[in-house]
Amino acid sequence: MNWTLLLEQTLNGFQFGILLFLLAAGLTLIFGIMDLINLAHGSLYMMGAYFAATLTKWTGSFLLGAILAIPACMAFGMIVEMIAIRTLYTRNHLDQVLATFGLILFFNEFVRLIWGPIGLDIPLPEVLNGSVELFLGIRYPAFRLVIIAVGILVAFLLYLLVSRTKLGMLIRAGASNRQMISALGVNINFLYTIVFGLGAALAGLAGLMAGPIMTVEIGMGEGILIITLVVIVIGGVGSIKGAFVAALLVGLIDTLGRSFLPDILGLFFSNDVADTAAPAISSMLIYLLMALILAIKPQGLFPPRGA
Amino acid sequence: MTGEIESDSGSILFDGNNISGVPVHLRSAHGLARSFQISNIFHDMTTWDNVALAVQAHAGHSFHFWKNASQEQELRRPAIEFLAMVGLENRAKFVAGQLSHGEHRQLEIAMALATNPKMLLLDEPMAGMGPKESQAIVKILQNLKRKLTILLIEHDMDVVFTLADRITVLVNGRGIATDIPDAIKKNQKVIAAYLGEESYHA
Amino acid sequence: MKGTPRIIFIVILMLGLGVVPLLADYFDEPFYTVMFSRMLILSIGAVSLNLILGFGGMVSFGHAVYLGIGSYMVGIGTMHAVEDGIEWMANGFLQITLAIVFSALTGLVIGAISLRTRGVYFIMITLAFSQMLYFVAVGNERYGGDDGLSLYMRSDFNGLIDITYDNSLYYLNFVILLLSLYLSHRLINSRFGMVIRGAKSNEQRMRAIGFPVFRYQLVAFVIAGTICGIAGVLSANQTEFVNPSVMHWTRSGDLIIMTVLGGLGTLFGPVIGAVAFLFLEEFLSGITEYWQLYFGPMLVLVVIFARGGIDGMLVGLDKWWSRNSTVKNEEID
Repeated sequence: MNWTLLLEQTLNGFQFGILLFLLAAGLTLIFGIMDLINLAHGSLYMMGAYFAATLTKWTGSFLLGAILAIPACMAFGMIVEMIAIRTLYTRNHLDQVLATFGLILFFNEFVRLIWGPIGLDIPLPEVLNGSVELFLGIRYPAFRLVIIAVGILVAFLLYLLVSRTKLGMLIRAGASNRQMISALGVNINFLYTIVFGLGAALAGLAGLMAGPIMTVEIGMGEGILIITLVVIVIGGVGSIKGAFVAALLVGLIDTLGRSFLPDILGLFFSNDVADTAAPAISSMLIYLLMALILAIKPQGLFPPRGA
Repeated sequence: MTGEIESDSGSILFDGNNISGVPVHLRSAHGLARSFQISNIFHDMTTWDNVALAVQAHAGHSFHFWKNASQEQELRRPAIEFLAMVGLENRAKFVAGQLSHGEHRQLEIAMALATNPKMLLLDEPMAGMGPKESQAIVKILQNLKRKLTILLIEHDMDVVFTLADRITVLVNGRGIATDIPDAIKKNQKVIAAYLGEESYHA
Repeated sequence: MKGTPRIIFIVILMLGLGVVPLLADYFDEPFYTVMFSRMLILSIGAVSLNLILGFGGMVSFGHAVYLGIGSYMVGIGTMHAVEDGIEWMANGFLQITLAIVFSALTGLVIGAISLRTRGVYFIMITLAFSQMLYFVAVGNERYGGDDGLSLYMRSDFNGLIDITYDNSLYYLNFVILLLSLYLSHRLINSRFGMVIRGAKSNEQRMRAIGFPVFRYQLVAFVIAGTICGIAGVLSANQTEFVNPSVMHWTRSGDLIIMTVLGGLGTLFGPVIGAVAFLFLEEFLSGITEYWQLYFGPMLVLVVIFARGGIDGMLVGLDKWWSRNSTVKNEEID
């Protein structure tokens, strides 16, 4: 076994897990508080990437572009919430799924209309473009390390927000007791808009950080949305802690599975079999993990209280 | 007792069988039927369909894919008989959601009866009912108690004393007295806790 | 019930579907036969989805998987028949049988896992498993991977039906649609159907009166998947091409849209929905390249305002019509 490759792929898995967490945190928060399943969450991820691409071009700096794209995404999310999402809270899940599916079609077409059908690249500044020596001559791309660091920082801030601030208290109260929160005299509509905006900002952050690694293109949010759904099912719908643990788990298993499964299968079967079967099996791994966890804990790893 | 919530301790013996860990749908097969405090019926089906479905639950398995169930006499006829027992036969073709609150309760009792129970568990059947409607239910129950055991949980003392053979008074989840109605009336502890929760066996 | 606008509409629709190839031939527009053929196939898929979604209340977001399974049975069979000369693998009866077996098995596994959960979990899990099978198809290079397989011939039904011609394939589709409609009509009115509908209406109550709901829902889930698998066999023959996108999750979304658009839990609703969906697609994409820009918000509006779908509107029309006709009768009296 190649240890350098193992370390590198573990870090890649970690970095993928962090992106998944940023998406899953918003999605699970929105579900836990508003009881809304939002399939268009992946579109907010896509918008984050497109905003960042454009703003980077305008300002000439990725850093500035990224910093501006986050509030842009939040504002965008809040507008979407006020126009389309708000009427869906009291609807059943089927209505929510259909309406947010309609939003995906709209956003994809909207992006195609404005930015055109061809994907964009986000150029990274010199500093982030290179690689960093970790130790013993093992080098790793600097930008991926930044993603991991930003993700951990955001996770910490989210933890503080939910456990220490008034907004967090309201969020927790909303998750467990809808009547109480209106009794406190808080404008519940405004709170919901803020929470949705927060989720949009997190999704946008994930999108703008994924942008320089992958291409910024239409539909980029759809594949990752489904993996995000797997993450929150594993973690327990509504639980941020569950989303964090499950996101890292899924990120690691998916990445490591894809890079090492051919070798592992090769130990037991002929190379021919391993080469054909490995891509199919490795793409199944996270779903099998989900099935396994659901068989043991149907509510996910960290079922939220009262669920 | 009906298995919706697992008990903290102890076991439930029913007709000589321990049913403590038995899943909800199998408790019904043991002969235990219940009605709910909140009306719990199939709102979008007709009254007749509601009861027919309850009859069907105890007419063998339901893996019959072809015959039209709404024309099967072995489901429809008993169903209308149970409806007649609670005085709802003239409401048979109404959609259940359109019935009045009292009629929902009557329908629930008909459905519970249709599952052919040895014991009927009624959770506050009179809750939220006018005096006239609850009179109708009391009459139905008076007829029924000759045929099967009824466990009634009820706050309305008049109803309890008219119907009950044995009463258990519960305060904060503990039984403080179990006796025939006359003895209960005289029981000091019961008088002291009179505004508490009452429950009784008929 | 007789002669209401809704019944007249449905009768005209079904009769109309029955004569499409004749009209298309008469006006020399064979394109319409192909387009309506697609409508029929997706109608079958939507009818099968309606069994669990409309009547059973199970929001399965992975129904296109069975379209994929049926399609690949044809694709793989035909590929071996053409490339390796194993002719019996192109046999349509065999392909349909295999499609039924594999769809049923897939439905059994996915259903057994997902039906243990409820609500939003159920939606997400059915979605996730369908995406898993999509990726399996993408990753399977032996059978075309991402590019898919081209069919060099359609399924061979031992000379009994020759579906080389679009018209005969159209009528095969039409007959299977009628059969699936009749089958769901029988199913939903049987004892089994009563259990499924009862569980949609009030699942807790179903348990209390003694139904083991899970096993009935699982069987319904399997039946729905199997019918959709047959639609997949037809679909591959129609397009003469099989690739993973036939089971992409957005296709599952399309099937849900068709069912809801037409009218959930009504017999003919899914057919109306599938026809309306493809008409809209055809119509809007003829006007503008960015047709989904209008289609998406339309969907949101349908969800918000037109709850019963097109069939619901027809029911409303019926009520209006019967009110007006009674008024007229009174005036005559």
